[in-house]
Amino acid sequence: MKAPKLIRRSRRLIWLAVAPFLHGGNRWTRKAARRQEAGFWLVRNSISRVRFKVLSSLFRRRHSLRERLTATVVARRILRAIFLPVLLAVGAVVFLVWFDQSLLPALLDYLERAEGAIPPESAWTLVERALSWVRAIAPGQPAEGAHAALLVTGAQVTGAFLGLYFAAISVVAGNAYGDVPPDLRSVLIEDPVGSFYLKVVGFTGGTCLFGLGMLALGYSFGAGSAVVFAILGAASVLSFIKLGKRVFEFLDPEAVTSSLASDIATAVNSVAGTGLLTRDRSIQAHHQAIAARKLDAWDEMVSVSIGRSQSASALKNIGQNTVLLLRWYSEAKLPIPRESYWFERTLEHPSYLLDGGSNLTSALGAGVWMSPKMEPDQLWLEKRAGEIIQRVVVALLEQGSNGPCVEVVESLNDWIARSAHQLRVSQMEMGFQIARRIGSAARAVPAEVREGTDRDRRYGLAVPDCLARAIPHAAGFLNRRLGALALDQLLEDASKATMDGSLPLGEFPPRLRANIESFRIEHSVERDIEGSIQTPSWFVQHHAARLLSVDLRTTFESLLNEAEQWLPSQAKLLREGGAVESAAMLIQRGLESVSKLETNGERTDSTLEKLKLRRVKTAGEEWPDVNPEQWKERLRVLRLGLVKELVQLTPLLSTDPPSGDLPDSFGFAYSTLCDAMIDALKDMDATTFELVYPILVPSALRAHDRVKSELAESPAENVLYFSTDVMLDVMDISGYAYLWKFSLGKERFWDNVTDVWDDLLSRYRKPADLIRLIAGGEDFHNQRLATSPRSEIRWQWRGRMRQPLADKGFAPRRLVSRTLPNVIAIDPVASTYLQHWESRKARDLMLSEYLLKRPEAGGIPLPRGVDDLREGAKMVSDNRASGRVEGGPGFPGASW
Amino acid sequence: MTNSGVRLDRASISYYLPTTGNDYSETNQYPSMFADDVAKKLFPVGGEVGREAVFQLSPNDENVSGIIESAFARYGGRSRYGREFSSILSGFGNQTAHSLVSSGAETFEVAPTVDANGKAIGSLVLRLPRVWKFAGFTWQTIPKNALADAHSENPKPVNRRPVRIPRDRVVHMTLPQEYRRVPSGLRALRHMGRAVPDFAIQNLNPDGTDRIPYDVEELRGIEQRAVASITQSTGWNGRRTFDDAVTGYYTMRRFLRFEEFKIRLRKAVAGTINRILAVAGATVGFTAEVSLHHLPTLEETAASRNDLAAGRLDFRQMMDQYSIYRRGRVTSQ
Repeated sequence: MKAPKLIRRSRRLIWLAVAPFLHGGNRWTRKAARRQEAGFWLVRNSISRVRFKVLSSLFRRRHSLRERLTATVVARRILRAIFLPVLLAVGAVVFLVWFDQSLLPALLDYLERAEGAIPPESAWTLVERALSWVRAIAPGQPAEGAHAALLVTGAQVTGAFLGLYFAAISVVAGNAYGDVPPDLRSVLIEDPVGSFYLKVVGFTGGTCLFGLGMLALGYSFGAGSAVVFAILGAASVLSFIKLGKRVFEFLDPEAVTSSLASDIATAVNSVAGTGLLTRDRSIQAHHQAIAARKLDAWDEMVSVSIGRSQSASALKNIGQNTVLLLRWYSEAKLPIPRESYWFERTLEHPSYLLDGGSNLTSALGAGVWMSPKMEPDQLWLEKRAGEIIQRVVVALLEQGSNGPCVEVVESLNDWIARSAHQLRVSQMEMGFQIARRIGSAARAVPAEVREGTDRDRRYGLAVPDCLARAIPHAAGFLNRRLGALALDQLLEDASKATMDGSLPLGEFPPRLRANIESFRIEHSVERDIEGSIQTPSWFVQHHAARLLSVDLRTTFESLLNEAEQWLPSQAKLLREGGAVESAAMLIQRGLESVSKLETNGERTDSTLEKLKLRRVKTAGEEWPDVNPEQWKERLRVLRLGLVKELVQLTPLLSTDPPSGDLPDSFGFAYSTLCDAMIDALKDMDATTFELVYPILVPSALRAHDRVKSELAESPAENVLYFSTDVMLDVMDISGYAYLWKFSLGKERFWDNVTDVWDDLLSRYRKPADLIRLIAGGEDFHNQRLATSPRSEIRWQWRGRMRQPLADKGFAPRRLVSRTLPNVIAIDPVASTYLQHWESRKARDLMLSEYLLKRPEAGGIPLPRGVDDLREGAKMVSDNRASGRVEGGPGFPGASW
Repeated sequence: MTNSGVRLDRASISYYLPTTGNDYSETNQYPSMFADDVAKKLFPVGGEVGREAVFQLSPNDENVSGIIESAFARYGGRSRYGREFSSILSGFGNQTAHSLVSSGAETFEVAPTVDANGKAIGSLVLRLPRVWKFAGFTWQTIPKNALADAHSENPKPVNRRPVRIPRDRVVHMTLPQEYRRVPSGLRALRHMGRAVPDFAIQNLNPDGTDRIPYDVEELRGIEQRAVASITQSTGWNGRRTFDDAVTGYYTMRRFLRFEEFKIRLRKAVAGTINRILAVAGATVGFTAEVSLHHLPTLEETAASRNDLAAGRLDFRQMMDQYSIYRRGRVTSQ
């Protein structure tokens, strides 16, 4: 027969008290034995309940105190606002009393005397008169029924203003909050300032009514109470001016979101401390619930604002407030322990293949799923805020308000970049996710507004641009972090933080921080068992260095992944959607990202090498595997992918003269492709060359036409000079292709050049005119001493082209060097060119060996450079025919 | 009594205890795991490390070796390479260690085997599980339910009168001084090791009444600390019970400590064997000693400790170094 509950519980308690003495061992075995008893947990449960009640009470008191503090702040603000009006009112009343009782009689008296002889006033008389004025404003006998009148008026006024305030609230509630969800309506109801005002007015009205009651009972009031009643009444009236206005702020979404942000901040601060209340799980969960409710209201505010077609500026402010909240929260949440119930618990299903053990055995035995775990979601708030930002931006895009949209996205970019700087990879990836979702939405909305204001046109392009800018921006911040990373200090700090549990961990990257937290637990176990920490600091530093390496590598690779996944595909989608200008901008950002990531990759690699020095054999854990060559290859492929996309895009770009309002997309595309050609030559990448060159040549002709139309009003000489300048880029590239074939033996480049030009000239209506134009342009450039806009870039190409030639011994390694090349060029023309590297131009090779050899070129005068080149080549041929060794004594034309 | 007239002249009484029901309140998990881990890794099964015998007799006399093999025969198995001597003594060492770490002390009777003429021709080492010392003598006590024969259909109960064992036949063995508290500590762990506490079963009550809330993580954490603190002096790792609660470095420190414990225990076992040989030799008429070879030493663990503190030691390398089954192991002895 089962014993009654009370008896059973008593038995358990007795056993619990006795059990520790029956067990041998040490305190830990005794503790463990106690925990095997049901009584222990029942007592613990009871203590927890009592503790919870105490904490709830403490929490309520603190909450109430906080409300009072808020009320004090509000009162101070109101007093500050009404101080001057009250002072003015009091002053006016005092003046009127003085005027009636003293000044006016004195004036009348004076006028009466002035009718007769006015005796001279002595100073004493004047003082006497002044004193009489002061006496005049001192309160005299109150008028009969004056107190009653004052109290009645006070009660009426407060009643009237209560009515007015509720009327204002009703207007707002009826118009703006009538059809909103309850979470949002609670913002209006729970407004602390309004609540305070109601309390003050209610108190004043109540006091007046009580005063009247006292009068009715035969009590009387003096001058002081009359002043207090008057001031309370005046405050009720005057503070309405401020509070009445504030009610209408609830119609403004921005003001509402500011208020919500403040509530969320209070909730975060309540769990970020180290006090008794912040450590309690139920209190943490309570604050999390409050913040979640406020975020729901925020989200509803966005829905309502979109539904009511709020102005773009209001939506923008909501978006920016959300990003501001994210930025603030990123730092404010750092002191919150990772296991805190502030972080929303989400179900996490285990992997059947990786998480086995008793869970798997019992799941299979019982024929059920492996039970999921409730894991803290460290980014729950960011996720919700991200959704709000996304909705705001999409709404702005749909409204065609690109300017405000850009401002919100820029703020978001900044948050992403800061996350990269702090090596907070998950947070950064979350930011990218939001940006990507916005990007998808932006594609669905026509970003390039053809119609509309100039401002809309400008910002229409800026949306995809600033979305793509997130990656290079973050890369720049990561670069800055890598430059400022004081490794020794950081590792030393990490080691200290594991020993001293009171040190804050906010500055450490997330993985390192988690590791320090786990070391703290392990150290506590060591202390419990051995009496002191056994693990040396080098062991801790090894792990700190390892995890910092993981953080650095992950951050970099995350950026790289993002660039790979986002940029080429997005550019393609934009191009296919007809948004060619946006696509060009995105490609530009992509190439910028690649350049920055190249620098990042090098710096990350060198930092990881430094961290590797901390590796200790005993610590043994697997060190993060890094392959910088693989990074370089991935970046090269990414760059190539972007260039390929640009190849497809260039023919679609407009060649209208740029107005300056928008970036010069065609000019960017043409210049970038030229540069890509130089890279392809330098890397011996004939495939890319063959891909780009056929697009580059017609693009050069289009560039020529555009410059001509841009300079339509300029003198003919200038037009010729600048319009042929862009074509000389292609001529130079073609000349290098010739050189690659006849010196380095790379035939595909030159073969491709001739194929493209053969095709072009065969289709060209007047090929001779084109050749004459190019040859004439080159000659004209030779004759002019001025530096053309593109000559500097061509000069830089020459430097880049030197490297592969120098590697094979076809060019001196240094410009000033006069060392004879190791290998003699095969072709006399190439040989002549190489022997006079500094003074010759690669385009002369193209003109001499292709264009001016074409049948259509008959009769076209040779430019001077071509003439010289051919003469030199003839000399080399003659020398070879006569058996003289190139570069040797008596070899004319050799200058090495 | 054997057919050839050779008999065992034992003073103690042989008895058999029938099987009793298990006490489920004690899991005995950790004490039995500890004893198993010590016994299995103290001496190599087969008595050899890299084909080298770990026990060597001095002086190496085949007749004496045979007498010793017979004396300890019930403890050891067969060697792959025919080194019965080392194999048998290793078996004795392992079995003794198993019971020693639980009880803290062991007592053996070295009983002579005599021929028909009453001459001692050999000895047999008998373990005496229940003994106590009184009036300068060692007394064997017989448990209440002891039976005379395990295989008989109607076993007779044994006379429970305490039996006095002659002083010159008894050899006592205890754990080394620094580990004397280990058995009592292990006894404190007898109740631990359950997946869930007993009372948790009633939480499965379908009507949801009388549920007792408890914290599994806290239970586990406290139990980990209990196991780690009780076995602190021996360095046993509780079969990785608390690996995830301590650093890798501390795990290695404990590994070395466990090796030191085993080295000291081996020495104690070797010392006990030599005392048994002294007793048997006095009866049968020989003088011999055994010594240990090819096993880790305290000098090695000291060097490893230094290497560990300097971060020069790899965990795998250390495991290999102290593995008693590592092939080709050669140590200076």
